Amino acid sequence: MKAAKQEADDERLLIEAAQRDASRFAELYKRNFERVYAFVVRRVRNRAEAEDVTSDVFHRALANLHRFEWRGVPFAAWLYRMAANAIADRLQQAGREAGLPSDADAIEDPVALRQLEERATLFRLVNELPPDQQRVVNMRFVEQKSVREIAHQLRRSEGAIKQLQFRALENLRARMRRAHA
Amino acid sequence: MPKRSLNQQLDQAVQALLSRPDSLLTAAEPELAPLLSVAADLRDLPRKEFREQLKSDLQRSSSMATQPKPQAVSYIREGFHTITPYLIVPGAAEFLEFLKAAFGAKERLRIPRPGTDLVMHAEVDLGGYIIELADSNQQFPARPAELHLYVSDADATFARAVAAGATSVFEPVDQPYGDREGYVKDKFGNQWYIATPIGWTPPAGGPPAVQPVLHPRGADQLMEFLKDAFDAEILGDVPRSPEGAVLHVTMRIGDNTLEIGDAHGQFQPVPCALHLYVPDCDALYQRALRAGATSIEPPNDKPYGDREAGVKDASGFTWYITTHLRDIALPLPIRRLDFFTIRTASLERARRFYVETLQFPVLDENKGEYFRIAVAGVPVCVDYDANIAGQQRNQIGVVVSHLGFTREALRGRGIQFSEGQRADETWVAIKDPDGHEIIFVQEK
Repeated sequence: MKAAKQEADDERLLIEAAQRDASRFAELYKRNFERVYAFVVRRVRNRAEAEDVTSDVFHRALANLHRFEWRGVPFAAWLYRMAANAIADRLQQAGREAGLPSDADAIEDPVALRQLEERATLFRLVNELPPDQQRVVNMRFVEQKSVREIAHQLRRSEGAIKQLQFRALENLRARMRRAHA
Repeated sequence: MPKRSLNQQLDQAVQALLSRPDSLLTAAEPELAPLLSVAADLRDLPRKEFREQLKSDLQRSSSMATQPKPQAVSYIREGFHTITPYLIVPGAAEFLEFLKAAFGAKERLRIPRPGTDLVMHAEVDLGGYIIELADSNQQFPARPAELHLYVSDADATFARAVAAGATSVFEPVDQPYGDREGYVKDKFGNQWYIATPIGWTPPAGGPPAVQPVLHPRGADQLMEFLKDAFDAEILGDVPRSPEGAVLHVTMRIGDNTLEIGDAHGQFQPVPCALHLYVPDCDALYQRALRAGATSIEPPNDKPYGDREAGVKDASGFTWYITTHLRDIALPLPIRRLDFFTIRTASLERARRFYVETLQFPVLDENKGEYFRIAVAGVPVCVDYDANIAGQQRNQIGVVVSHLGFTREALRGRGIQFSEGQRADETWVAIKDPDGHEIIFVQEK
């Protein structure tokens, strides 16, 4: 509980600093990028749309930061609300009624929020992997390359790439446990 | 060896996940299950390059936002509010007179189209709110508006408007929403709701004297656009008809408001033009485009000290998005020089000199008072003044193409002259009977 309160206080200070000086927004971005992306990516059709919406959310957040009032509600919740609105607008513009979960209710659901937080943590942890593991994860999962392509590009054996993939996933699993312990 | 086979198994399962996104997480070895669940989530991993690109985009935007503005002026031009209706009508000069007669509007500014009596831009003040107007033409077709006026006595203003030529649509009545309100149309295409609050207490400072009213087809769409593009906020409730149409809503943008209702019956769309003063014209122009507007004019600096862009929203309303950058003294709208005056103690003597001897053409004449001559197209009024002794004499300078001819012409007329040279010109000077000098100059 203490840690949670400490984090809330830190966040409040960061927001107030960014409201006074927009250049401090970078810290809020760093803390929340993965959260927003994780929220958006499951609610749109593809990566390009996820990037568009995420970009939109942070630009809006920067432009409207002065309107954010601290009432103990996490900053992320404000961002999720903006993201949900941005997605709903897109669906409406595209004339799509439903199909993907675009409802803002998910923001209130503690289970959904916890899963969201876990995925955001996972995305952050990838950046802490040893460089060769990080590279393999990015090529395999983001660029969706085959093991053969990766092996060719990195001039390693396919076995070595599979080994790196295995270690990377193990590593991430272990770090996730520690992070949420 | 077992590790190697686990590697293989894991990769097979990952490959299945990647090629069929909706496939179930299955693995022969139970110890692989948690790794596969990590792998499943990694499919949504954001691109590193995107994360960095967005970070630097935001840094650029935030540094633009924090750069100290060198100007001390407000982004809203003096006397304006955020929203100002811009009425483009045929016969703007006559319309100005109508606004004065009907609503007691005060003319703040009128800039004629050069060489004409057409109004290029004009502003009137109506109860502390500004209405802008201009003559319509091919480039700017007529864009009348619907405006809601709050006045102290709706009946009196209604009567004045009708006397000034407006057509009554309905006379002032007590409306269920707490206004006494009448409704007129003018011959320029505008519609006016003339109201006085009777059943509610207006905020301190009074109700807005001028509020644009928009009747789009699809009010919800327009409301969403205004929220996304301009951070408009809905004030109060949004009453709807049983069919779901928006009956009436007030939205605030910046420091003032506009009203919106779905088009119905006699209230059909009047696709007017509205002028918005915003802190950052460029940013709001981009947002408006993202929110679905089409560009009329990208942001550009105007000679009158504003940076301005134009967009049209999906409902057909035109928005001029403007940031006032600096106050500029407007040039006086001069069309031509009418005259300037030199004084003479004897009109007769002066007339002989200028008209008979020098042969300047007479433009007009009022015997005993003045005569006007054209000097190289510039009218000069020679005015009778018995007491010019001791007064400063004038100098009239004219450029001639050949000073030698000028000298000969003056000698031929028996006029004495002096002559001289300056850095880049030679000159010949004569005096008229009152002592005013005329200097003939030939440029080198």
